[in-house]
Amino acid sequence: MKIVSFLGKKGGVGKTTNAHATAHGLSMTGIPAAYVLTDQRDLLSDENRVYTIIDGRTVPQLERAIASARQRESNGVFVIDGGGNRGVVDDLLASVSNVVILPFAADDDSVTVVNEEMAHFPAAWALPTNWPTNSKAQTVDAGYLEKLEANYPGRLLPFSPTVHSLRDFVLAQFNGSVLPPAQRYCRVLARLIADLLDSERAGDKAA
Amino acid sequence: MPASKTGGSLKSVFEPAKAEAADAVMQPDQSQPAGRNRRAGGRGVRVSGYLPAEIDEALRDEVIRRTVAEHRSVSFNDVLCSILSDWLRRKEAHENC
Repeated sequence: MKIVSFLGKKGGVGKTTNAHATAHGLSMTGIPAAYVLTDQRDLLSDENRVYTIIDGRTVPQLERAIASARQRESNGVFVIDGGGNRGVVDDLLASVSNVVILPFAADDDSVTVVNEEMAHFPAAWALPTNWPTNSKAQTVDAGYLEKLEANYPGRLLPFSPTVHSLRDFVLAQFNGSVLPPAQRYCRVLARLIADLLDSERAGDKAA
Repeated sequence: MPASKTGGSLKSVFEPAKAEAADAVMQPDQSQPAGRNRRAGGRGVRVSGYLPAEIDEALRDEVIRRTVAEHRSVSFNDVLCSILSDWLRRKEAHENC
């Protein structure tokens, strides 16, 4: 069982949405996945979802879930949603994660925060999320990506575009229907995460 | 549906120091639920249905009164949650008598 965590102090950059999208995409590609909630929001029902939702809102719950999953030989993935503005919780989650993803959006605050966090988590990957699809806006925002790539070469993932229908994943009542653009988004993201997990596994073997 | 689908024996997964620091942060803030709801953008608070005009007006007056008295931003939801919490406490106290 592998653990991927979506972390970062900045709120509203897509930690939760991308964690759900990853869990959905992994499940669609045949990899059992669970979304783990760690902040104090209401636990969503996993009815109609292809992935499990696990309650990790306290340290004992989180520890029990991870310990239990590790006891089973499985190719499954825990996708942990770190929640915003909790540095010590991010440290804890990063310490047990195989892959750490730091989503960030195309704005000054978000890029400043992710820049600091990339230094704090040397093995983390920065994921540009909710990125503009308009070519002029992309040209303007390319500066953010160039800055991060210059500071942390090779640790910047391809940007993910804005897909409004992804918001369906965080509705209290999810009806199970995922629109084609969101399906595509989930598949692409899941493949990306699966590749990162594979390369991490290969790195372990080589070490 | 159960809240958690996991079970099994508890063994140490986290470094104790990190777990302790995170545990302090991950405790639900039960003392100020209204504040928590405001920080979360009002998530989890739903006011639906008709409020009689005089109650609506009284609640809005109370929002202004508390904002001035407490020198901080107080929302409609804060006031409503605080009144409902008081009501629940009084109800429980009455039942225990």
